[in-house]
Amino acid sequence: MAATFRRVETIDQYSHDELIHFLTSIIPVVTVYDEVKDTADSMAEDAHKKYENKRDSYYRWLTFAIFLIVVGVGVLRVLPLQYLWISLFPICIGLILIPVSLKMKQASETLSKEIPGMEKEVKQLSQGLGQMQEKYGQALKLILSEYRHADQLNYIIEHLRNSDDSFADIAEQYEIEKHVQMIQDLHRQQIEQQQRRSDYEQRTEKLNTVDKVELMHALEEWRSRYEPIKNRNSDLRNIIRQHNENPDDVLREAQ
Amino acid sequence: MMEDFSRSQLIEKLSVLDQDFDALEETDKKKQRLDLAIARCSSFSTSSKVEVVVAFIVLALTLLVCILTSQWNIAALGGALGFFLFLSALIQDTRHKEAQHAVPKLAQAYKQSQESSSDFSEEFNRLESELPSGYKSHFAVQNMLRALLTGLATSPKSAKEYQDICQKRLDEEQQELKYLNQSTSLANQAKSDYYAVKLALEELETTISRLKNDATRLDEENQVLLVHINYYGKE
Repeated sequence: MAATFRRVETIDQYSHDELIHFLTSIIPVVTVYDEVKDTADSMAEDAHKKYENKRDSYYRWLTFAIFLIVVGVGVLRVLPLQYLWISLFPICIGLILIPVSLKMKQASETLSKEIPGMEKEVKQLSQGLGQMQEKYGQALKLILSEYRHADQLNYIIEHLRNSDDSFADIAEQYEIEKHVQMIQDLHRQQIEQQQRRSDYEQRTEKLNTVDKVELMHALEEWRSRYEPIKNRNSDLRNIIRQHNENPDDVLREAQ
Repeated sequence: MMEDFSRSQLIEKLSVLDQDFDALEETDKKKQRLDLAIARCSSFSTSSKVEVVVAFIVLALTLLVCILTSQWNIAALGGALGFFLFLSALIQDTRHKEAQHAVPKLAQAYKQSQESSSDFSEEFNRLESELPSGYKSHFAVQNMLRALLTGLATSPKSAKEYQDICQKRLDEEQQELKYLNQSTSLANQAKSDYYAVKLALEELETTISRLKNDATRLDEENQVLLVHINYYGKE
Protein backbone atom coordinates (compact mmCIF):
# COMPACT_ATOMS: atom_id res chain seq x y z
CA MET A 1 0.00 0.00 0.00
CA ALA A 2 2.48 2.57 -1.11
CA ALA A 3 -0.08 5.18 -2.07
CA THR A 4 1.45 8.62 -2.59
CA PHE A 5 -0.43 11.79 -3.31
CA ARG A 6 -0.17 15.52 -2.84
CA ARG A 7 -1.46 16.77 0.50
CA VAL A 8 -4.52 18.97 0.10
CA GLU A 9 -7.21 20.29 2.42
CA THR A 10 -10.17 19.39 0.26
CA ILE A 11 -10.58 17.05 -2.65
CA ASP A 12 -11.52 19.80 -5.13
CA GLN A 13 -8.00 21.20 -4.84
CA TYR A 14 -6.78 18.29 -7.00
CA SER A 15 -6.68 18.76 -10.71
CA HIS A 16 -8.73 16.37 -12.84
CA ASP A 17 -5.79 14.01 -13.45
CA GLU A 18 -4.55 14.28 -9.89
CA LEU A 19 -8.02 13.39 -8.68
CA ILE A 20 -8.12 10.26 -10.84
CA HIS A 21 -4.66 9.30 -9.57
CA PHE A 22 -5.65 10.01 -5.97
CA LEU A 23 -8.87 7.99 -6.14
CA THR A 24 -7.19 5.10 -7.95
CA SER A 25 -4.43 4.98 -5.33
CA ILE A 26 -6.76 5.34 -2.39
CA ILE A 27 -9.10 2.48 -3.39
CA PRO A 28 -6.93 -0.31 -1.86
CA VAL A 29 -6.51 1.80 1.29
CA VAL A 30 -10.22 2.54 1.78
CA THR A 31 -11.19 -1.00 0.87
CA VAL A 32 -8.87 -2.48 3.45
CA TYR A 33 -9.73 0.24 5.99
CA ASP A 34 -13.49 -0.30 5.69
CA GLU A 35 -13.26 -4.07 5.53
CA VAL A 36 -11.11 -4.10 8.66
CA LYS A 37 -13.44 -1.63 10.38
CA ASP A 38 -16.54 -3.67 9.51
CA THR A 39 -14.84 -6.90 10.54
CA ALA A 40 -13.67 -5.40 13.83
CA ASP A 41 -17.17 -4.10 14.54
CA SER A 42 -19.01 -7.29 13.80
CA MET A 43 -16.56 -10.11 14.57
CA ALA A 44 -16.82 -10.23 18.36
CA GLU A 45 -20.56 -9.53 18.32
CA ASP A 46 -21.20 -12.28 15.77
CA ALA A 47 -19.13 -14.73 17.80
CA HIS A 48 -21.16 -13.89 20.93
CA LYS A 49 -24.43 -14.27 19.06
CA LYS A 50 -23.37 -17.62 17.60
CA TYR A 51 -22.34 -18.83 21.05
CA GLU A 52 -25.64 -17.68 22.61
CA ASN A 53 -27.70 -19.34 19.87
CA LYS A 54 -25.85 -22.64 20.28
CA ARG A 55 -26.17 -22.44 24.05
CA ASP A 56 -29.92 -21.66 23.78
CA SER A 57 -30.40 -24.64 21.46
CA TYR A 58 -28.53 -26.88 23.90
CA TYR A 59 -30.73 -25.89 26.82
CA ARG A 60 -33.92 -26.05 24.73
CA TRP A 61 -33.20 -29.58 23.47
CA LEU A 62 -32.02 -30.74 26.89
CA THR A 63 -35.24 -29.48 28.50
CA PHE A 64 -37.30 -31.17 25.80
CA ALA A 65 -35.39 -34.45 26.21
CA ILE A 66 -35.90 -34.38 30.00
CA PHE A 67 -39.60 -33.61 29.49
CA LEU A 68 -40.03 -36.60 27.17
CA ILE A 69 -38.15 -38.99 29.46
CA VAL A 70 -39.81 -37.86 32.69
CA VAL A 71 -43.33 -37.79 31.24
CA GLY A 72 -42.69 -41.17 29.55
CA VAL A 73 -41.69 -42.64 32.92
CA GLY A 74 -44.73 -41.02 34.57
CA VAL A 75 -47.09 -42.44 31.95
CA LEU A 76 -45.49 -45.88 32.40
CA ARG A 77 -47.11 -46.18 35.84
CA VAL A 78 -50.53 -44.95 34.69
CA LEU A 79 -51.15 -46.92 31.48
CA PRO A 80 -51.79 -50.67 31.38
CA LEU A 81 -48.98 -52.93 30.12
CA GLN A 82 -50.40 -53.39 26.62
CA TYR A 83 -49.87 -49.64 26.05
CA LEU A 84 -46.23 -49.82 27.13
CA TRP A 85 -45.10 -48.50 23.74
CA ILE A 86 -46.88 -45.17 24.40
CA SER A 87 -44.48 -44.42 27.24
CA LEU A 88 -41.44 -46.12 25.67
CA PHE A 89 -41.72 -44.01 22.54
CA PRO A 90 -41.11 -40.59 24.21
CA ILE A 91 -38.47 -42.13 26.48
CA CYS A 92 -36.53 -43.37 23.43
CA ILE A 93 -36.86 -40.00 21.64
CA GLY A 94 -35.73 -38.24 24.83
CA LEU A 95 -32.72 -40.56 25.15
CA ILE A 96 -31.77 -39.84 21.54
CA LEU A 97 -32.09 -36.09 22.11
CA ILE A 98 -29.69 -36.07 25.07
CA PRO A 99 -26.52 -36.75 23.00
CA VAL A 100 -27.85 -34.27 20.40
CA SER A 101 -28.10 -31.56 23.04
CA LEU A 102 -24.69 -32.52 24.48
CA LYS A 103 -23.22 -32.13 21.01
CA MET A 104 -24.65 -28.60 20.93
CA LYS A 105 -23.16 -27.93 24.34
CA GLN A 106 -19.77 -29.05 23.03
CA ALA A 107 -20.14 -26.78 20.00
CA SER A 108 -21.10 -23.82 22.19
CA GLU A 109 -18.09 -24.44 24.45
CA THR A 110 -15.80 -24.55 21.43
CA LEU A 111 -17.27 -21.25 20.29
CA SER A 112 -16.85 -19.75 23.76
CA LYS A 113 -13.16 -20.73 23.73
CA GLU A 114 -12.77 -18.90 20.44
CA ILE A 115 -14.19 -15.64 21.81
CA PRO A 116 -11.09 -14.41 23.77
CA GLY A 117 -8.90 -15.10 20.73
CA MET A 118 -11.36 -13.22 18.58
CA GLU A 119 -11.41 -10.29 21.00
CA LYS A 120 -7.61 -10.23 20.86
CA GLU A 121 -7.83 -10.24 17.07
CA VAL A 122 -10.35 -7.38 17.19
CA LYS A 123 -7.94 -5.45 19.40
CA GLN A 124 -5.14 -6.04 16.89
CA LEU A 125 -7.41 -4.96 14.06
CA SER A 126 -8.28 -1.78 15.97
CA GLN A 127 -4.57 -1.10 16.44
CA GLY A 128 -4.05 -1.69 12.72
CA LEU A 129 -6.88 0.71 12.00
CA GLY A 130 -5.24 3.28 14.26
CA GLN A 131 -1.98 2.90 12.32
CA MET A 132 -3.79 3.26 9.02
CA GLN A 133 -5.59 6.29 10.36
CA GLU A 134 -2.23 7.76 11.32
CA LYS A 135 -0.68 7.05 7.93
CA TYR A 136 -3.62 7.81 5.65
CA GLY A 137 -5.77 9.91 8.00
CA GLN A 138 -5.40 13.03 5.91
CA ALA A 139 -6.31 11.22 2.70
CA LEU A 140 -9.20 9.35 4.31
CA LYS A 141 -10.60 12.61 5.64
CA LEU A 142 -10.95 13.88 2.08
CA ILE A 143 -13.59 11.27 1.29
CA LEU A 144 -16.69 10.91 3.39
CA SER A 145 -17.10 7.41 4.86
CA GLU A 146 -20.23 6.73 2.76
CA TYR A 147 -18.14 7.01 -0.44
CA ARG A 148 -15.32 4.83 0.84
CA HIS A 149 -16.25 1.73 -1.13
CA ALA A 150 -14.34 0.33 -4.06
CA ASP A 151 -17.39 0.03 -6.34
CA GLN A 152 -18.49 3.58 -5.58
CA LEU A 153 -15.03 5.01 -6.12
CA ASN A 154 -14.66 3.01 -9.32
CA TYR A 155 -17.97 4.50 -10.48
CA ILE A 156 -16.63 7.99 -9.78
CA ILE A 157 -13.28 7.26 -11.49
CA GLU A 158 -15.12 5.90 -14.53
CA HIS A 159 -17.17 9.09 -14.75
CA LEU A 160 -14.09 11.26 -14.25
CA ARG A 161 -12.32 9.48 -17.10
CA ASN A 162 -15.29 9.93 -19.42
CA SER A 163 -16.17 13.53 -18.61
CA ASP A 164 -14.87 16.82 -17.29
CA ASP A 165 -17.17 16.66 -14.27
CA SER A 166 -15.69 17.29 -10.87
CA PHE A 167 -15.82 14.91 -7.91
CA ALA A 168 -18.59 17.12 -6.45
CA ASP A 169 -20.69 16.90 -9.62
CA ILE A 170 -20.38 13.14 -9.79
CA ALA A 171 -21.03 12.68 -6.08
CA GLU A 172 -24.11 14.88 -6.37
CA GLN A 173 -25.19 13.00 -9.48
CA TYR A 174 -24.84 9.80 -7.47
CA GLU A 175 -26.97 11.33 -4.65
CA ILE A 176 -29.64 12.40 -7.13
CA GLU A 177 -29.67 8.96 -8.75
CA LYS A 178 -29.99 7.37 -5.31
CA HIS A 179 -32.90 9.68 -4.48
CA VAL A 180 -34.61 9.12 -7.84
CA GLN A 181 -34.13 5.38 -7.49
CA MET A 182 -35.69 5.45 -4.04
CA ILE A 183 -38.67 7.52 -5.20
CA GLN A 184 -39.14 5.18 -8.17
CA ASP A 185 -39.01 2.14 -5.87
CA LEU A 186 -41.57 3.74 -3.57
CA HIS A 187 -43.81 4.60 -6.54
CA ARG A 188 -43.53 1.05 -7.84
CA GLN A 189 -44.47 -0.32 -4.42
CA GLN A 190 -47.37 2.15 -4.19
CA ILE A 191 -48.66 0.98 -7.57
CA GLU A 192 -48.31 -2.64 -6.45
CA GLN A 193 -50.34 -1.90 -3.33
CA GLN A 194 -52.97 0.05 -5.32
CA GLN A 195 -53.17 -2.86 -7.74
CA ARG A 196 -53.55 -5.27 -4.84
CA ARG A 197 -56.27 -3.08 -3.37
CA SER A 198 -58.18 -2.80 -6.63
CA ASP A 199 -57.78 -6.55 -7.19
CA TYR A 200 -59.37 -7.30 -3.80
CA GLU A 201 -62.05 -4.66 -4.35
CA GLN A 202 -62.97 -6.23 -7.70
CA ARG A 203 -63.12 -9.67 -6.11
CA THR A 204 -65.26 -8.28 -3.26
CA GLU A 205 -67.49 -6.55 -5.78
CA LYS A 206 -67.97 -9.84 -7.64
CA LEU A 207 -68.80 -11.60 -4.37
CA ASN A 208 -71.23 -8.84 -3.39
CA THR A 209 -73.01 -8.77 -6.73
CA VAL A 210 -72.81 -12.05 -8.68
CA ASP A 211 -72.09 -14.63 -5.95
CA LYS A 212 -74.23 -13.05 -3.25
CA VAL A 213 -77.23 -12.62 -5.58
CA GLU A 214 -76.95 -16.22 -6.74
CA LEU A 215 -76.70 -17.49 -3.18
CA MET A 216 -79.60 -15.32 -1.95
CA HIS A 217 -81.67 -16.63 -4.82
CA ALA A 218 -80.75 -20.22 -3.94
CA LEU A 219 -81.52 -19.53 -0.28
CA GLU A 220 -84.96 -18.16 -1.08
CA GLU A 221 -85.65 -21.10 -3.37
CA TRP A 222 -84.68 -23.68 -0.76
CA ARG A 223 -86.54 -21.82 1.98
CA SER A 224 -89.70 -21.90 -0.16
CA ARG A 225 -89.16 -25.61 -0.82
CA TYR A 226 -88.31 -26.44 2.77
CA GLU A 227 -91.32 -24.82 4.46
CA PRO A 228 -94.09 -26.97 2.77
CA ILE A 229 -92.02 -30.16 3.29
CA LYS A 230 -91.59 -29.28 6.95
CA ASN A 231 -95.30 -28.50 7.37
CA ARG A 232 -96.22 -31.74 5.64
CA ASN A 233 -93.82 -33.62 7.92
CA SER A 234 -95.47 -32.18 11.06
CA ASP A 235 -98.94 -33.00 9.65
CA LEU A 236 -97.91 -36.61 8.95
CA ARG A 237 -96.33 -36.92 12.40
CA ASN A 238 -99.56 -35.61 13.97
CA ILE A 239 -101.62 -38.22 12.08
CA ILE A 240 -99.32 -40.98 13.38
CA ARG A 241 -99.49 -39.59 16.91
CA GLN A 242 -103.30 -39.61 16.63
CA HIS A 243 -102.98 -43.36 16.07
CA ASN A 244 -101.05 -43.59 19.35
CA GLU A 245 -97.76 -44.26 17.66
CA ASN A 246 -94.43 -42.47 17.91
CA PRO A 247 -93.37 -41.18 14.46
CA ASP A 248 -89.70 -41.50 15.41
CA ASP A 249 -90.21 -45.19 16.24
CA VAL A 250 -91.95 -45.64 12.90
CA LEU A 251 -89.03 -44.10 11.10
CA ARG A 252 -86.50 -46.16 13.08
CA GLU A 253 -88.37 -49.37 12.24
CA ALA A 254 -88.49 -48.48 8.59
CA GLN A 255 -84.72 -48.08 8.37
CA MET B 1 -21.67 31.43 14.64
CA MET B 2 -21.57 29.04 11.70
CA GLU B 3 -21.56 31.80 9.09
CA ASP B 4 -18.32 33.19 10.49
CA PHE B 5 -16.29 30.06 9.80
CA SER B 6 -14.08 29.48 6.81
CA ARG B 7 -14.60 26.33 4.76
CA SER B 8 -11.70 24.47 6.39
CA GLN B 9 -12.78 25.51 9.89
CA LEU B 10 -16.31 24.34 9.22
CA ILE B 11 -15.03 21.02 7.80
CA GLU B 12 -12.95 20.56 10.92
CA LYS B 13 -15.86 21.28 13.25
CA LEU B 14 -18.40 19.24 11.30
CA SER B 15 -15.94 16.29 11.13
CA VAL B 16 -15.60 16.36 14.90
CA LEU B 17 -19.38 16.56 15.30
CA ASP B 18 -19.84 13.69 12.83
CA GLN B 19 -17.43 11.51 14.81
CA ASP B 20 -19.14 12.52 18.06
CA PHE B 21 -22.52 11.54 16.65
CA ASP B 22 -21.04 8.18 15.64
CA ALA B 23 -19.63 7.74 19.14
CA LEU B 24 -23.00 8.61 20.69
CA GLU B 25 -24.73 6.10 18.42
CA GLU B 26 -22.14 3.50 19.47
CA THR B 27 -22.88 4.29 23.14
CA ASP B 28 -26.60 3.84 22.45
CA LYS B 29 -25.90 0.49 20.81
CA LYS B 30 -23.87 -0.60 23.84
CA LYS B 31 -26.70 0.45 26.13
CA GLN B 32 -29.18 -1.56 24.07
CA ARG B 33 -26.90 -4.61 24.28
CA LEU B 34 -26.63 -4.18 28.05
CA ASP B 35 -30.41 -3.75 28.44
CA LEU B 36 -30.97 -6.84 26.33
CA ALA B 37 -28.56 -8.90 28.45
CA ILE B 38 -30.22 -7.69 31.67
CA ALA B 39 -33.68 -8.48 30.27
CA ARG B 40 -32.45 -11.95 29.27
CA CYS B 41 -31.10 -12.54 32.77
CA SER B 42 -34.28 -11.44 34.46
CA SER B 43 -36.43 -13.52 32.08
CA PHE B 44 -34.47 -16.68 32.99
CA SER B 45 -34.68 -15.85 36.67
CA THR B 46 -38.46 -15.25 36.47
CA SER B 47 -39.01 -18.49 34.50
CA SER B 48 -37.02 -20.41 37.09
CA LYS B 49 -39.07 -19.00 39.99
CA VAL B 50 -42.39 -19.52 38.18
CA GLU B 51 -41.48 -23.12 37.35
CA VAL B 52 -40.62 -23.89 41.01
CA VAL B 53 -43.96 -22.45 42.14
CA VAL B 54 -45.87 -24.36 39.42
CA ALA B 55 -44.00 -27.55 40.37
CA PHE B 56 -45.13 -27.18 43.99
CA ILE B 57 -48.72 -26.51 42.89
CA VAL B 58 -48.67 -29.57 40.58
CA LEU B 59 -47.31 -31.78 43.35
CA ALA B 60 -49.82 -30.45 45.89
CA LEU B 61 -52.74 -30.90 43.49
CA THR B 62 -51.56 -34.41 42.60
CA LEU B 63 -51.42 -35.32 46.30
CA LEU B 64 -54.87 -33.84 46.87
CA VAL B 65 -56.41 -35.68 43.91
CA CYS B 66 -54.76 -38.94 44.97
CA ILE B 67 -56.06 -38.61 48.54
CA LEU B 68 -59.58 -37.70 47.38
CA THR B 69 -59.89 -40.37 44.69
CA SER B 70 -57.57 -42.97 46.27
CA GLN B 71 -56.10 -43.57 42.81
CA TRP B 72 -52.43 -43.53 43.60
CA ASN B 73 -51.29 -44.36 40.07
CA ILE B 74 -51.99 -40.71 39.13
CA ALA B 75 -49.24 -39.76 41.58
CA ALA B 76 -46.64 -41.08 39.10
CA LEU B 77 -47.81 -38.69 36.37
CA GLY B 78 -48.15 -35.68 38.69
CA GLY B 79 -44.83 -36.50 40.32
CA ALA B 80 -43.15 -36.81 36.93
CA LEU B 81 -44.53 -33.45 35.82
CA GLY B 82 -43.48 -31.79 39.09
CA PHE B 83 -40.03 -33.40 38.85
CA PHE B 84 -39.68 -32.13 35.27
CA LEU B 85 -40.66 -28.61 36.34
CA PHE B 86 -38.03 -28.70 39.09
CA LEU B 87 -35.37 -29.83 36.60
CA SER B 88 -36.48 -27.17 34.12
CA ALA B 89 -36.29 -24.53 36.88
CA LEU B 90 -32.76 -25.75 37.61
CA ILE B 91 -31.84 -25.39 33.94
CA GLN B 92 -33.32 -21.89 33.80
CA ASP B 93 -31.33 -21.01 36.91
CA THR B 94 -28.12 -22.24 35.25
CA ARG B 95 -28.95 -20.15 32.18
CA HIS B 96 -29.59 -17.16 34.44
CA LYS B 97 -26.17 -17.58 36.06
CA GLU B 98 -24.49 -17.97 32.66
CA ALA B 99 -26.27 -14.93 31.23
CA GLN B 100 -25.26 -12.95 34.32
CA HIS B 101 -21.58 -13.46 33.45
CA ALA B 102 -22.00 -11.35 30.31
CA VAL B 103 -23.60 -8.39 32.14
CA PRO B 104 -20.54 -6.90 33.94
CA LYS B 105 -18.50 -6.99 30.72
CA LEU B 106 -21.24 -5.22 28.76
CA ALA B 107 -21.80 -2.78 31.63
CA GLN B 108 -18.08 -2.01 31.63
CA ALA B 109 -18.07 -1.43 27.86
CA TYR B 110 -21.12 0.85 28.19
CA LYS B 111 -19.56 2.73 31.10
CA GLN B 112 -16.33 3.29 29.15
CA SER B 113 -18.26 4.45 26.13
CA GLN B 114 -20.38 6.73 28.30
CA GLU B 115 -17.29 8.18 29.97
CA SER B 116 -15.65 8.93 26.65
CA SER B 117 -18.94 10.51 25.49
CA SER B 118 -19.06 12.70 28.55
CA ASP B 119 -15.45 13.70 27.85
CA PHE B 120 -16.44 15.24 24.56
CA SER B 121 -20.02 16.15 25.48
CA GLU B 122 -19.05 19.70 26.49
CA GLU B 123 -17.19 20.19 23.23
CA PHE B 124 -20.04 18.50 21.36
CA ASN B 125 -22.64 20.82 22.92
CA ARG B 126 -20.51 23.85 22.18
CA LEU B 127 -20.04 22.84 18.53
CA GLU B 128 -23.70 21.96 18.21
CA SER B 129 -24.73 25.33 19.65
CA GLU B 130 -22.73 27.02 16.92
CA LEU B 131 -25.00 25.49 14.30
CA PRO B 132 -28.36 27.14 13.54
CA SER B 133 -31.50 25.24 14.51
CA GLY B 134 -32.58 22.76 11.86
CA TYR B 135 -28.93 22.03 11.05
CA LYS B 136 -27.95 20.27 14.26
CA SER B 137 -28.95 16.68 13.43
CA HIS B 138 -26.48 13.99 12.36
CA PHE B 139 -28.17 13.91 8.97
CA ALA B 140 -27.66 17.68 8.50
CA VAL B 141 -24.06 17.51 9.71
CA GLN B 142 -23.26 14.66 7.30
CA ASN B 143 -24.85 16.47 4.36
CA MET B 144 -23.08 19.77 5.02
CA LEU B 145 -19.82 17.92 5.55
CA ARG B 146 -20.26 16.03 2.29
CA ALA B 147 -20.97 19.24 0.40
CA LEU B 148 -17.94 20.95 1.91
CA LEU B 149 -15.61 17.98 1.43
CA THR B 150 -16.55 17.37 -2.17
CA GLY B 151 -16.43 21.06 -3.04
CA LEU B 152 -20.11 21.30 -3.84
CA ALA B 153 -20.31 23.94 -1.14
CA THR B 154 -17.47 26.32 -0.47
CA SER B 155 -19.06 28.48 2.20
CA PRO B 156 -21.26 27.93 5.26
CA LYS B 157 -24.15 29.54 3.36
CA SER B 158 -23.90 27.13 0.42
CA ALA B 159 -23.47 24.19 2.83
CA LYS B 160 -26.73 25.21 4.48
CA GLU B 161 -28.41 25.53 1.10
CA TYR B 162 -27.21 22.04 0.19
CA GLN B 163 -28.61 20.70 3.46
CA ASP B 164 -31.95 22.35 2.58
CA ILE B 165 -31.95 20.45 -0.73
CA CYS B 166 -31.14 17.20 1.08
CA GLN B 167 -33.88 17.90 3.61
CA LYS B 168 -36.34 18.46 0.76
CA ARG B 169 -35.29 15.14 -0.78
CA LEU B 170 -35.72 13.42 2.57
CA ASP B 171 -39.13 15.05 3.06
CA GLU B 172 -40.15 13.89 -0.40
CA GLU B 173 -38.98 10.33 0.36
CA GLN B 174 -40.82 10.37 3.68
CA GLN B 175 -43.96 11.71 2.01
CA GLU B 176 -43.81 8.92 -0.56
CA LEU B 177 -43.21 6.42 2.21
CA LYS B 178 -46.29 7.80 3.98
CA TYR B 179 -48.32 7.32 0.77
CA LEU B 180 -46.95 3.79 0.49
CA ASN B 181 -47.97 3.01 4.06
CA GLN B 182 -51.43 4.45 3.35
CA SER B 183 -51.73 2.38 0.15
CA THR B 184 -50.58 -0.74 2.02
CA SER B 185 -53.06 -0.14 4.80
CA LEU B 186 -55.91 0.42 2.29
CA ALA B 187 -54.90 -2.74 0.41
CA ASN B 188 -54.86 -4.67 3.68
CA GLN B 189 -58.29 -3.25 4.52
CA ALA B 190 -59.58 -4.31 1.08
CA LYS B 191 -58.13 -7.77 1.69
CA SER B 192 -59.81 -8.12 5.08
CA ASP B 193 -63.09 -6.82 3.58
CA TYR B 194 -62.84 -9.44 0.86
CA TYR B 195 -62.27 -12.25 3.36
CA ALA B 196 -65.11 -10.95 5.57
CA VAL B 197 -67.54 -11.00 2.63
CA LYS B 198 -66.20 -14.39 1.56
CA LEU B 199 -66.77 -15.75 5.05
CA ALA B 200 -70.31 -14.34 5.14
CA LEU B 201 -71.04 -16.01 1.79
CA GLU B 202 -69.54 -19.27 3.00
CA GLU B 203 -71.88 -19.11 5.98
CA LEU B 204 -74.74 -18.49 3.56
CA GLU B 205 -73.63 -21.53 1.54
CA THR B 206 -73.59 -23.60 4.73
CA THR B 207 -77.13 -22.44 5.54
CA ILE B 208 -78.32 -23.37 2.06
CA SER B 209 -76.63 -26.73 2.23
CA ARG B 210 -78.19 -27.36 5.67
CA LEU B 211 -81.62 -26.40 4.30
CA LYS B 212 -81.05 -28.70 1.31
CA ASN B 213 -80.10 -31.63 3.57
CA ASP B 214 -82.98 -30.97 5.94
CA ALA B 215 -85.44 -30.76 3.05
CA THR B 216 -84.14 -34.01 1.55
CA ARG B 217 -84.23 -35.77 4.92
CA LEU B 218 -87.74 -34.53 5.69
CA ASP B 219 -88.90 -35.50 2.21
CA GLU B 220 -87.59 -39.03 2.75
CA GLU B 221 -89.24 -39.11 6.17
CA ASN B 222 -92.49 -37.97 4.61
CA GLN B 223 -92.38 -40.87 2.12
CA VAL B 224 -91.90 -43.38 4.93
CA LEU B 225 -94.56 -41.78 7.14
CA LEU B 226 -96.98 -41.67 4.22
CA VAL B 227 -96.51 -45.38 3.49
CA HIS B 228 -97.12 -46.10 7.17
CA ILE B 229 -100.27 -43.92 7.22
CA ASN B 230 -101.55 -45.77 4.15
CA TYR B 231 -101.57 -48.95 6.25
CA TYR B 232 -104.05 -47.31 8.64
CA GLY B 233 -106.48 -46.91 5.72
CA LYS B 234 -106.04 -50.54 4.69
CA GLU B 235 -106.59 -51.71 8.27
